[in-house]
Amino acid sequence: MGARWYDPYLKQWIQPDTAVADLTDPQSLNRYSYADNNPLRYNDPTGHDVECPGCDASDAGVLAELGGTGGGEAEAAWNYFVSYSPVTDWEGPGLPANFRPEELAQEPASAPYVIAGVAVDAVAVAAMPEDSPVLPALRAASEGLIAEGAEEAGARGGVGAPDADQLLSSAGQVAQSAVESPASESAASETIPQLAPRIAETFQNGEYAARQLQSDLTVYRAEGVQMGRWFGAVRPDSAAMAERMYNVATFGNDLTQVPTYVIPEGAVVYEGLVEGGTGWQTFVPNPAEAGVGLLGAEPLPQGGF
Amino acid sequence: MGLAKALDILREIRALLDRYRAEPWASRIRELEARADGALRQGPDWARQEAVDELRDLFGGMGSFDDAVISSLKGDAIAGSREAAVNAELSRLRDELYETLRDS
Repeated sequence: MGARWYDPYLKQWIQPDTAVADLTDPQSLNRYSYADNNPLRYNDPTGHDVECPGCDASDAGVLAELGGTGGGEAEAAWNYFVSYSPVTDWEGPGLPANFRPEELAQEPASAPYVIAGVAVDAVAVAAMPEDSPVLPALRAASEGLIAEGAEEAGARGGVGAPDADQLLSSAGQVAQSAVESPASESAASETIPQLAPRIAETFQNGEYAARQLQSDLTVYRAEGVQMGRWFGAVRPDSAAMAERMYNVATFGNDLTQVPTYVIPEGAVVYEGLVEGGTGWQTFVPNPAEAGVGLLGAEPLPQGGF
Repeated sequence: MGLAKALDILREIRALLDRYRAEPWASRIRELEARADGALRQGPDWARQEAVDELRDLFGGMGSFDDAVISSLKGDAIAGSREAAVNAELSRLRDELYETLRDS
């Protein structure tokens, strides 16, 4: 599945790239940008390295690639989809800027079929283990959607654009059906306990993914006094941004600082979108038991943006 | 009534927070405890219901009482080695309070 998560509202990855930056390439120094900030020319199949899939193609370009049968079909279809979508303000690989912000985009090309798995329930999809019986069906359905897109492109002779809304809607239905199927329930880890309903309700639509961290995870909070059980994936630049992302204003807290924490490898965490907010949150039931550490804290500028 | 049981649990929570001087929640819970106690002793039904609603509002996500931890990182008077067990106890009481309020 995708190596990182992308927030179309923030227009950036919400997890930093683990790839080491190239000091000769200034764009690579921003570990939250996607495809050197040029998604129409480049893509990033692994989430860690920028590629230029069309650079070796003939002048016929993307449309010609769509007629091919090689392994690059999904990639080409995606490029076509992005390039010719009636939505003109794409901000990355996942969703148009006017798409609902809660529908986080999972990077499309890291699994070759995820173009149609774009997002709607990427949280649930990401929670599925690789051997989940749901994933093959999801991918098969995604392949069908890609094929439809290619056929449509062929029928139009390269003129006009595929119906992006329809494609995304279909993708959403596929993802939703996967989430609602009994098989997806069995996909949850048997060893990680589920959250109490009231905690689950702090995640959008009550949907979250549980996992045991395979490496340390850096997270943030906006707060007046340090430490808590919920953490955010993105460091807020202002109190207003913190309120919008993490819905913390409800409880009347003073948001005066932004501490950075590290959740250690091996800890069990629960992740998902914030109910009532636009951010991505991580819940740790007992941070002391998990060994959550404080890396440092900085003042949080008041006001908004 | 549920408020009486909730008040008992609230007292336990406040005692735990006081023991480790866990501010600002110790003070906040103390205020709520006093109001709930007043409503239970003298208040009409609507005041008691208001007290229950106020306690229900403690629960939520980041920034709520559900988010509260007792931690030396924020200056609470607790040894690091005790934090996991003490916070487990805080969570147990918090769950119990929520269940009581939910049924009230």
